[in-house]
Amino acid sequence: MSEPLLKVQGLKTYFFLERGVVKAVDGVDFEIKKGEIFGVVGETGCGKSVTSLSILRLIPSPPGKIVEGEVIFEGENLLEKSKEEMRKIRGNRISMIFQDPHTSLDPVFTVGYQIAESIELHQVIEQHLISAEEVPRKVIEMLKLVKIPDPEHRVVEYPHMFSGGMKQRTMIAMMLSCNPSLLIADEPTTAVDVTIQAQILDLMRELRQKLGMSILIITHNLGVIAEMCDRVAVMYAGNIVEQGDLKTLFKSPKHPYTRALLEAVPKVGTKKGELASIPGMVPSLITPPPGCKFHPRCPYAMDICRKKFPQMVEIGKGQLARCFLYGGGAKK
Amino acid sequence: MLGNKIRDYLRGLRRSPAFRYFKRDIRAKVGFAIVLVVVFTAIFASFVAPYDPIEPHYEDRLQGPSGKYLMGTDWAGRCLFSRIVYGTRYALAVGFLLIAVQASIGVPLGLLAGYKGGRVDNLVMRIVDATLAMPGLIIALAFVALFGPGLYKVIIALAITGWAGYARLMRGQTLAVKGETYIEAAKAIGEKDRTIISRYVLPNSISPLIVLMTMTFPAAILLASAMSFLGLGVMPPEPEWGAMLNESSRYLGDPMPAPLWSIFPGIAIIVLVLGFNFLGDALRDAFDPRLRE
Amino acid sequence: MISEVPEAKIKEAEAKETATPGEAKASEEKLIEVKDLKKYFLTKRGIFAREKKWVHAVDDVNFNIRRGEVFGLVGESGCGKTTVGKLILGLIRPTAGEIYFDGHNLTEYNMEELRKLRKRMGVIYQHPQSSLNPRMTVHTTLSRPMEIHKIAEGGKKEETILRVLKEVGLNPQHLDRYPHEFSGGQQQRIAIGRVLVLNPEFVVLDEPTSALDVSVQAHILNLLNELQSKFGLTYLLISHDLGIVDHMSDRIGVMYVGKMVELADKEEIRKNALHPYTRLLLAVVPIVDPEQKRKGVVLKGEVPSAINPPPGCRFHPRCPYAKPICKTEPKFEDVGDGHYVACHLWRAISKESSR
Repeated sequence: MSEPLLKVQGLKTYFFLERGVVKAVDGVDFEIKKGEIFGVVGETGCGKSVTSLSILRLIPSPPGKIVEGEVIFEGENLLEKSKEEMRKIRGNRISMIFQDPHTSLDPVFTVGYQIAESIELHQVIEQHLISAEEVPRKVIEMLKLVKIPDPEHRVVEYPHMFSGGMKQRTMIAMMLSCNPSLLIADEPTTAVDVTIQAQILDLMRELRQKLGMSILIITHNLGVIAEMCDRVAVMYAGNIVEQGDLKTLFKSPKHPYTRALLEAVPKVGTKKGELASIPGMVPSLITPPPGCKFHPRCPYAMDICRKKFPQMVEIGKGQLARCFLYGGGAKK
Repeated sequence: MLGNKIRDYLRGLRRSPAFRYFKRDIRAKVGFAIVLVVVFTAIFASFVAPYDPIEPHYEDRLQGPSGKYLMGTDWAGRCLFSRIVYGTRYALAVGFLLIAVQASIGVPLGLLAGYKGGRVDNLVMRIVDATLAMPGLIIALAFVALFGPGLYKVIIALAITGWAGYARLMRGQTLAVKGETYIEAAKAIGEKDRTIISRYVLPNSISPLIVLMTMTFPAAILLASAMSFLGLGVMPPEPEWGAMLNESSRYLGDPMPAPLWSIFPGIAIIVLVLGFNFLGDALRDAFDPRLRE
Repeated sequence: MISEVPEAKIKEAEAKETATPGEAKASEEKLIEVKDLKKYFLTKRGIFAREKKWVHAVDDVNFNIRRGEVFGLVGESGCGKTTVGKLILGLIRPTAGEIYFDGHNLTEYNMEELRKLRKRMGVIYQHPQSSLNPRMTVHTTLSRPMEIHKIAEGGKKEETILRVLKEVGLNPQHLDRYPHEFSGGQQQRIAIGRVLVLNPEFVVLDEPTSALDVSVQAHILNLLNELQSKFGLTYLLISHDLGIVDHMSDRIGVMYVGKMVELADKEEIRKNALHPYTRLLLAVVPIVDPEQKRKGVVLKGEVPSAINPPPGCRFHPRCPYAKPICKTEPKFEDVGDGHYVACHLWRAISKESSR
């Protein structure tokens, strides 16, 4: 059994605010294997973005703090690295692309310049992998990789001349220029049209094939998850409530929240007015409900759910659910 | 009806994140305290001041601080402390009146320019630009030279150029608010333009307006004091701090030194200006949405 | 392979085209009629430049909305669907063309007359927080429409407010609060309440759930459905999300860069979409089912700009079926049963899919 590329264990990231401590990520465990596409899905406030920022240690440090846990990447614990070491890893061995392509690129520099800067920073200066003369060639190579048409001429253009989809692809080019082992994509297609989304998702899958890199996709869009991922984790109020391989999770979801989520999406054949909706509201992350955080909204809530916090239970191969319906009770 | 509206507004205010931020800011507390003290002093000046500020006591002239006269006396033996106390009235009056006049001219013009846009906007903004290019203090001095000194004339003189800043701010705010969806939603339910301006645009543009007012208050005080210092504003024997600086400037060295006389009005101006500056800074930060989580 | 369309067919199509889409089912009352609607915007720089750059936001759009139906308008950003909504509401004026609301020609009305007609229409926006005045309490937000149109006062007004609150699932305790004190879903309910107090006939829903979480979206869509049947409302649902449009609508219109390229019943669109762009949309929407992989569609190019567009079919640069004829403007023609397509090659495409 080969070592997983990334192993997150017991991750807890809290934000210390005046009105209380926001437990954004409250004990998260998962693994990503080499070459795998792993999805984290959940609604607003579930902690999925904070998880990805924690991996790269990009949490703003006055209010936020990673209070516990380990993030083992290629055998090393990222949480123990110095700032300098993390800087070398970001953009190089682990890259991240964000939701809004329009504000991620600097408008006063040409596209080529920005990609070159990324290459120079990591490959030329730090690792002497390629010489400075080779950089322009590499830039064009990257633009071709992300299928930007006519790259030789596009290289000297400014971001505002690019469409949203092209900007996102440029971001991908920048982030991949150093051939990272892991790409973190936080809502990569939420801000673009559906036809462009399809192009970008196709591109990501192709790059996984070509470069053998793993991808961590974070999104609230179940359709994107269904299309892209090998394995999925569902998050709710700072915890993973269900995890497993894609088909099993979608075909027979175990956790009541996963079930409700899948039923809330309009599908062909759902009668009007019968979309399953989840009563109640997302709980406060400062004072979550006692016991299972989902119990106030759960149609199957039992007495124990109100009192104890369920642990992850293994149901079948690699399928995990955090719910007392399947056991999950810690011994008294 | 109005009482209810005010109660609602205050309640909404208390719950707003801006207010919570504000409450915790040390500058807010200090600034607010200073302003409160000055306002209190101005209102109850006759109770706070031991002597009549204009009454001379020639036998006690040019004394330093003592048990009898807390801050000493000036050339005519008038109690400096009492003069400082009554001076708060002039300082606050100038500030409030000046801002009131400037805002009454500038705010409606700014709202109009921002909301109507097009030619109206162009016309108003060109006038505003021209006005902003004029040196305010110098024009005020010219006005006073023509029409004579005095508190009200000073206010008019400074308001001639001062309104433009308000107009520009309100126009900017109106433009920003105009693009918000709730303005279009208001039109969609059939609101008339003038209602939209009064009930949708204006209430949502108040925050920066309040900050501006709080920030221009000290400027107003300084300008008015400057004019009085130059002898063109409020004239002695009125106990205005700028005028007191003027009088005392002749007594800094030989042959009759009374340096403390000039220090007290100077400190009074500094303290009041600082107070409003702190308050304004705190307000501005409290209203800034980016500073909230 | 398709040869030039025979002349007889062209004449037939032209004759059908002059009839407004939907007229075949004339027994169904037309609440909204849109004829040859155009809206062009001048780009800012255009005022001084020699060649004026016009954004063809809406370009010759024709369709009807029948009373009591949900009409879905779908398309990607820049296709003009939101502009169409605003034109129908009378919030912006068309550059050309006509809009009829219950027989009234809106294009002939001045702003004041339009304002009065507003009480029969409502609109729900994408971002509930920004569609509510942050300085008005829920009570005021719900009162204003009635006060403006002098519909109800005092006791009767309060009664209506309480009734509407109940309909949208809120409590009387919420009346004193401000929008920022509510969640996104609740804010959208307030916005729906604001529409209901006037008891309108027609509501434009502009991306009503795009900014909401999946579970909240389900609530709101269910609520909108319930209200529609209860009050006999007519909806124009504007969205980029084909899944939602498919779920809610009776008929669907597909727009691309200012033009309507296809219009048909929901079932027809699902089973027999003819326009290549519609087929593309159906193919790329991610399906929430891991077993159904998307058919590998070759996607070329980017969405073109609507500024001074070139002649001909606007989709042809990206179209897998494109032929030389596509450089001429296709007609929005009736292909039977209320199904309209703007494509020269629809017959060939139809044959291909039935194979």
